[in-house]
Amino acid sequence: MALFLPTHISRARRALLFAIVLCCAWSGVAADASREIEAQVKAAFLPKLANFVTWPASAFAETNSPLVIGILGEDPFGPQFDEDLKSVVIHGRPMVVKRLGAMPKPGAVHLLFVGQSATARIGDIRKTLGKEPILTLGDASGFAEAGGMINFTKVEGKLRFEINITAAQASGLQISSRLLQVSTVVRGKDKP
Amino acid sequence: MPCKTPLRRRLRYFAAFGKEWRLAKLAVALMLLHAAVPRVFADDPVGTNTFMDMTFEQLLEVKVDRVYGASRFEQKVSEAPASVSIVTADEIERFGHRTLADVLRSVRGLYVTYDRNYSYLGMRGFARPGDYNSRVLLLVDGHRMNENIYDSMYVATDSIMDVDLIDRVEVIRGPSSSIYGSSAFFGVINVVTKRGGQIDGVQTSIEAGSLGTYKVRATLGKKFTNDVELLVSGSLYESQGQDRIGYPEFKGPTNHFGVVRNSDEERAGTFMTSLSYHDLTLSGGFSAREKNVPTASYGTVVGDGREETLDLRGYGDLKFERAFTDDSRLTSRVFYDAYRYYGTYPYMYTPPTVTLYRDAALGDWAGTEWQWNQRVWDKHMLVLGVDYREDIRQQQINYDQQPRFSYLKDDRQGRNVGAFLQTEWLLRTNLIANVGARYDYFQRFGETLNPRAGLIYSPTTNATVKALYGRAFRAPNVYELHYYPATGDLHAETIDTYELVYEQKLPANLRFTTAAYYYTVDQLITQRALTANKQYFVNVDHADGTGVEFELDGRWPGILARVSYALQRTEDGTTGDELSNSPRHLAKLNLSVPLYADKFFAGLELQYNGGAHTVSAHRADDFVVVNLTLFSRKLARNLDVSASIYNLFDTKYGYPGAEDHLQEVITQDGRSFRVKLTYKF
Repeated sequence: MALFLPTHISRARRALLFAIVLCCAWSGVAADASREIEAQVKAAFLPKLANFVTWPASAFAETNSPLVIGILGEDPFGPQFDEDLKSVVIHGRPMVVKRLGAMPKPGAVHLLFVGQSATARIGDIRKTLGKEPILTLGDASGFAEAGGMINFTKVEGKLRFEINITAAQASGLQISSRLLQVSTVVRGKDKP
Repeated sequence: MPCKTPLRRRLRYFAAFGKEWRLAKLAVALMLLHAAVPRVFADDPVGTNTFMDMTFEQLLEVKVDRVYGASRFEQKVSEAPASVSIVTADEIERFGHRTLADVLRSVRGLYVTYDRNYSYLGMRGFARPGDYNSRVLLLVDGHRMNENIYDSMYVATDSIMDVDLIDRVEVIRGPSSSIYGSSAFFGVINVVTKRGGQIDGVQTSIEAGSLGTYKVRATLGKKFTNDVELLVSGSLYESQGQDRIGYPEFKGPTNHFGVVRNSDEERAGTFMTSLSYHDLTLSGGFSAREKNVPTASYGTVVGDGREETLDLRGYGDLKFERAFTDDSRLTSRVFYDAYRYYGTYPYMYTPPTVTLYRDAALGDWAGTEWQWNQRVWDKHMLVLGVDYREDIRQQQINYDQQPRFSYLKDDRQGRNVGAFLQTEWLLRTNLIANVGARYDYFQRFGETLNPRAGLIYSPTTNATVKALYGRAFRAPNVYELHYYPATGDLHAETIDTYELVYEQKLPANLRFTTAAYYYTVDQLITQRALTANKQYFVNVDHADGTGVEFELDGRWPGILARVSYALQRTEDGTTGDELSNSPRHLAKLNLSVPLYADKFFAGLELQYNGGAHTVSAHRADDFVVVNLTLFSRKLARNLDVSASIYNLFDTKYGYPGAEDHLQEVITQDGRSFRVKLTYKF
């Protein structure tokens, strides 16, 4: 142990202080933006959720057209998400990610992830998208009640989902019962 | 903050560590090593998202914990300005925990002792025998549970909190007076209860166990479509307890040769409800618990069978919470609380007549709390709050029943106002500064200011280092002030804590945590004897504590494992001795594995408590207790079954008694079992 810290007490305490200072100094070189577990798990859920949803054939231009994920508002997943999705195939389609500055045009995306900062705009989103077959996925309480289709929630520290099934059906999307089994079905405040 | 301990004394103190200090050094070395290693590999595979390869079912089991209690808003555990542990309902089921005390016993660095009446929580090696849990703050959904006579909070069968209603328990180590005020001295336990929607129907459970122990519970919970969420729950508990206990300390025929029969009975009931609509939540709870005390504490007649305590606790709380924008949120509450204690103590003043001495405490208080959370430019989080509390009634009464003789009838009132500001400041993407302070004014003794500051730094995405300082206080309570004839003013006791926490995510879903702390308590309120029969409380003592803790926990589909070790050393500032009831070592293991698919689980719990000094400087021996639980979720349709054996190897062990016990060590139960059925309609 003497290798790490001198045996004399006051020096040990000084070494401790030094260690703290050193740790803080390292902050200058650490590059990675903090991608926390929660965002990573949500990212990993995204393709799995898409797999539980059936889009009408009309939603895609061709049989092998990619399934496009749009991210509206802040992006919790980071550029690594694009890399991770490269090897993923859902419903026989590759997946691509688009980060959106403004409201997506109908047909441009299939799954719209609404970041927390954009949750308040769900009313506008619904108005713009109308009955387009676009799965809306949110990350804030009240999202599904306000007309979003799937919302991340937490139960006992684990991620779960709230599903507004009427909103999904109104847009011609079918949600698998396997997903519904582990989710809470919520009803919207008004009709879409 | 000025440190009041002279440096020389502190050095001597550290030197006194001897062998253990070497272990502490190993801890620091490990911390440094761990901090260095991931940096070396930081550019390597840390960025790739390992969760991508998991199945949907596996992802559902991943825990993404958040903690509320550390800062009065939800934040990631790694970003909280404290070393935090979280225990969830899932773990409580899998390990067969019967009470909050069982839950806390499984948490790193915590120990709970029992004197066959109340249970006492120890944190960081500090649990004064005879003190009623006044130095840890218990919150239930943010509502303060410590009462206004003794500042006590209840964690066992005496608790208002039915363990089946717990969604998660947050254990926040270290001082939090900077946001909570008095009693957040060594730590805060925040219990988050289940909501109606999580029960979603009617749930009933029946338990039966050794020592004639039975419990029934019924809970109704529902989330209605019109945004109304309701939970109503009630439980009844009964235990015969030990029918015969031998206390060899009591000798001779008048003491029944130390044999106490049928004096360990216990009965308790709890009721809890919450109703929420939009931004409003109305919640309330009530508990009553009656316990026969077999230990002949306070010099009562041995084997008389009439010594008992009755504790009642109730509260109502209306909370309003509204997010005005994504960045600002208002939380406020008004509450009313009540507490009653009635004790009966048989004394033999002049043999052979036995006189019943009655002791009672009646407390009522009400208050309001207002809190504004504001996020500024995504970089700062400000929490601004004001708490007000009015002690409507603080009454202590005691008398001899027959012939009637009154000793004490003390009636008090008081109030407390507190205001706090806490800021979380994102200095860089990987560095958070957390600074806050709270001002408190007590009508009874004046004002106090308690700051807290922390730097939370993530050298890599998987590592966090926290350097923390905090000051906390505990106001003298009316029991300490007025139970004995006044001998002078008391003021608040204070604690300064310095700590270093290191958390590292490891490959294969493992997480390593280590923490080192040093604290110094000043003006400790201590009971002293004026003459043989006259006691009083005075701010005299000073105490130090230091320790290191390690924890490794892992979660894989269906499996959870947690192992921890705490080394702690406390010192009485006056005598230089180790404090009583302060075990130097605490080691714990919790392991739950699926035996068959996702249906059957085996949960093994192993707890080692090191030996500790008793009040009169004897030793309570160290011991290992092993608990085993078999748990089946959905064994049949909607039926959960659990079977537990506690103290599997029938270890003989005991906890140090207090001044009011003649017993040095209070013997605990041997092997016992419990079977529990839970059915959901």
